[in-house]
Amino acid sequence: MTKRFAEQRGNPELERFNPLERIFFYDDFNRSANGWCELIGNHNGDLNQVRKAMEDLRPPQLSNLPFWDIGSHGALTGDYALKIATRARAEHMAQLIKRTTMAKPGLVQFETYFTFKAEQRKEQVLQAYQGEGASSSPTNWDGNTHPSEADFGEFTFSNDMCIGSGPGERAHCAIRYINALPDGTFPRQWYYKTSVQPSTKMVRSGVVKDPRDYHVIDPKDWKPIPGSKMDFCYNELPTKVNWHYLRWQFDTSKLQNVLLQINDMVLDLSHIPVPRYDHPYLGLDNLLNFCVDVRTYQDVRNFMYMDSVVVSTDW
Amino acid sequence: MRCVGNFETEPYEVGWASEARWFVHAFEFPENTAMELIPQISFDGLFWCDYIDGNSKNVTIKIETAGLYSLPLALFGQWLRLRAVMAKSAESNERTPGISIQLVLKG
Repeated sequence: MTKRFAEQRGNPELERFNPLERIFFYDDFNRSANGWCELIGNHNGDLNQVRKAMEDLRPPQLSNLPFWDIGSHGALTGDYALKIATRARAEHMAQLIKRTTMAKPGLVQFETYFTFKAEQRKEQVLQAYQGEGASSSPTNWDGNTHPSEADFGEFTFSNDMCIGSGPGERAHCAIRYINALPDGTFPRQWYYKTSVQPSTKMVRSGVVKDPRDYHVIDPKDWKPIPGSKMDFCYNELPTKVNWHYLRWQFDTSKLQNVLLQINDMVLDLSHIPVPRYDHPYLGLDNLLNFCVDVRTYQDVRNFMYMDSVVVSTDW
Repeated sequence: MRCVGNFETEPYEVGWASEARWFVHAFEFPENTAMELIPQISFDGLFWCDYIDGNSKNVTIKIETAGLYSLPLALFGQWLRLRAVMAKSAESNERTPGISIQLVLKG
């Protein structure tokens, strides 16, 4: 047992993580939002210039997961988790970003304990309050699976990397889990993207249109990660919360994914292609941003919560 | 944002905060228009009532001209939002008010 590992074993806050050699940052959301903030599109001082895909990505919230039925649920540790909430409008996406630069290109590992839920439909609660719950409950409720499972769309973990000085080489890794589609089907699988994220520069120059899906040029530009079908522990109600472990590695020196672990599932991502920009960007030297977003397909708010985050590196 | 009618801001969780203050910057406000912003509170983010201060009074922000407005709140509980009511004169006005809403929290 190395000295560092021994120290980590003595620290209950970090023992649930498996960090690389150097912990870059540890975000305990009982203390604050730790620099996770709303992503906004580029502008020249005139907010009317912010393109539609990036004008309303919503601010972070510190949540103790309060629900209408039980009150406060609380986080995995302490009271508060970082919350990302969409609007109650189909195809609305909310995204948070944490901005850093890298001291050296290399292996980066993002770990979090997270969970996701769709907001309970208000009309369901009203019916229950008014004593009409039994007669108006969806007939397809079997006491185990809940209709709200179909109200949660998708979430995506992504980054923004730029290596080298001056006009560096830039790419985004993005891994997306799609839970339920608008047609009521459940892909319940992880996906990677096959086109670059349309930048403000690309949109303004007319190379691409402002995208419907923030991450890609065409909404169809996603492919399933082989062997990645999985169900999460939804736990029967929109107001019961279970926390899931995620570990995602990427290599900034190669602008490549490395692996993705969710609980007991480990996926080799080293063969997954990552689209690169074919034109340069200035002022992004050693850029390393971390992003988390959630998107709803229904007129129902979708929520992502992160209890805590550890990012570590091999620097 | 441009105000084209009555609206509510998105629910925002403030259970951790001990003080809250709304700032509303009416950066463009046409003449003969008015709006009122009413703070609302909730325990679950689903059901809302108007905020009542320690003296059992409603407090609101009333805007009739461009400028920066502010409203402090205390003992607000778990969730906050603003309910905006546009004066009838705003409906017939060709130009819509442009406002920016910020919520500052400290815990």
